[in-house]
Amino acid sequence: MKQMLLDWWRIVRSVLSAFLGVQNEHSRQRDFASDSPWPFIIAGVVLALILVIALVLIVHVVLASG
Amino acid sequence: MVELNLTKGYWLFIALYLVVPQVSADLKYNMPVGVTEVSHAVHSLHMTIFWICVAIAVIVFGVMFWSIFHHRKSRGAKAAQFHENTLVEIIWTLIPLVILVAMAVPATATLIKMYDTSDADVDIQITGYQWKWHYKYVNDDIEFFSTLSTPADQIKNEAPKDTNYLLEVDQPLVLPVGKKVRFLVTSNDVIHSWWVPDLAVKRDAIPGFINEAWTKIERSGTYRGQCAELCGKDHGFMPIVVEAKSEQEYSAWVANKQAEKEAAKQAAAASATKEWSHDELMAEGEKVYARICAACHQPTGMGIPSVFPALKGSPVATGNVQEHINIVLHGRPGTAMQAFAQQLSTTELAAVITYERNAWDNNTGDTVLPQAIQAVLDKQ
Repeated sequence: MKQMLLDWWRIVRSVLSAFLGVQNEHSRQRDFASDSPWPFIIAGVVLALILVIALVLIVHVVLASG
Repeated sequence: MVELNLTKGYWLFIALYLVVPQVSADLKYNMPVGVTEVSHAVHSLHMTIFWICVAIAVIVFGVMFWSIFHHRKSRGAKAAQFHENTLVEIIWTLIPLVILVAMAVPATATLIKMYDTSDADVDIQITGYQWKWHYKYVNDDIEFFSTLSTPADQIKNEAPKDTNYLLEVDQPLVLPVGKKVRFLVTSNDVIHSWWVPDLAVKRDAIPGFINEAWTKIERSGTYRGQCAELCGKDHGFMPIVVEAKSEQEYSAWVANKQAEKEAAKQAAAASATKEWSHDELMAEGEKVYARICAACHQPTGMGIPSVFPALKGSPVATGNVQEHINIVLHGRPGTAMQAFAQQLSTTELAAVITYERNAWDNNTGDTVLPQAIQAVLDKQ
């Protein structure tokens, strides 16, 4: 269980690094050694949705206060 | 040594920062400060972002040139060979991100202010035409076209040009000072853009859409602008002139405009019964033609081949009178030929059609009377 959580945290970190556009060679090697690309794709889609929702919320908050 | 250089650069930067704003206020190259709260906000936002850019440039190029100079080959510098440095990469990604977000805060505040068209005291519908502006005071039932008034001989370099060359109109848009004015901007034909820098208003005029903008002018005066969206041959010949008047002067202007409208109505009624002679109509028609028609069909009546048809010897101007009246009144859909039924009075229409049928050797001998135009309008 703990291992799985650690794995997911690693994937989320890799996806966030991709959002920022900066990743080190060591992590890249490790990620590309994974068996399946799906966890990365799923994490990417979920985080992109969270980003969009966060932006929509920020706009709502700003417009409501302005 | 290094520290000394950096300190010098810092003081130079401070000196520039103190001196340049004073100078820039007088330079005509900068954005105008303008006469509205929004234009002040836009100007200060512009200056803030300009100075952020200057600071970034000074730091980035300073470090770059310093590095190039101090690590030059003749001094025996050896290039470091390494591939990546994640920490540095994250830093130079995060710093611009923070700067962009920091710039977005004042920019958003200004944008929200610009788009808040609520609670306006005066509503004005602005319609772009090729190539003039139409203003309609929605609450006061006043409307008029505003066309270029720069004389043709100045445009053709036959006379010295005025200070406000191509920035003067026959009827300016008159606005009250200290009142919130809402603009409803649209177009009759192609995309135009209503732009007055001193008000910091620039809004696209798009056929079939209504875009909103607003202003609240602080000082009375004359403010000039231009169409800011390339809209065809005379794009540079449809200026905007805004005259901001005090509230009393504005009310007097509105009353005067309404009286003028009433007088025009009576004059139209009088002219409809008046016996116009052929020569009177020709003289009046020549004036109307020069003001309205010559932009496309040219003063010579020759038009511009393959763009605007000639009227000299044309089948319309020398053929059936009713067909000619019909085209001038209702335009030709799908072409630049506008419908002039609402833009000109029956007398002006009769005069200009008479003129077109007899000028430039067209010599049909026809006289079109205002009554004939009225008859066509009544039939609809």
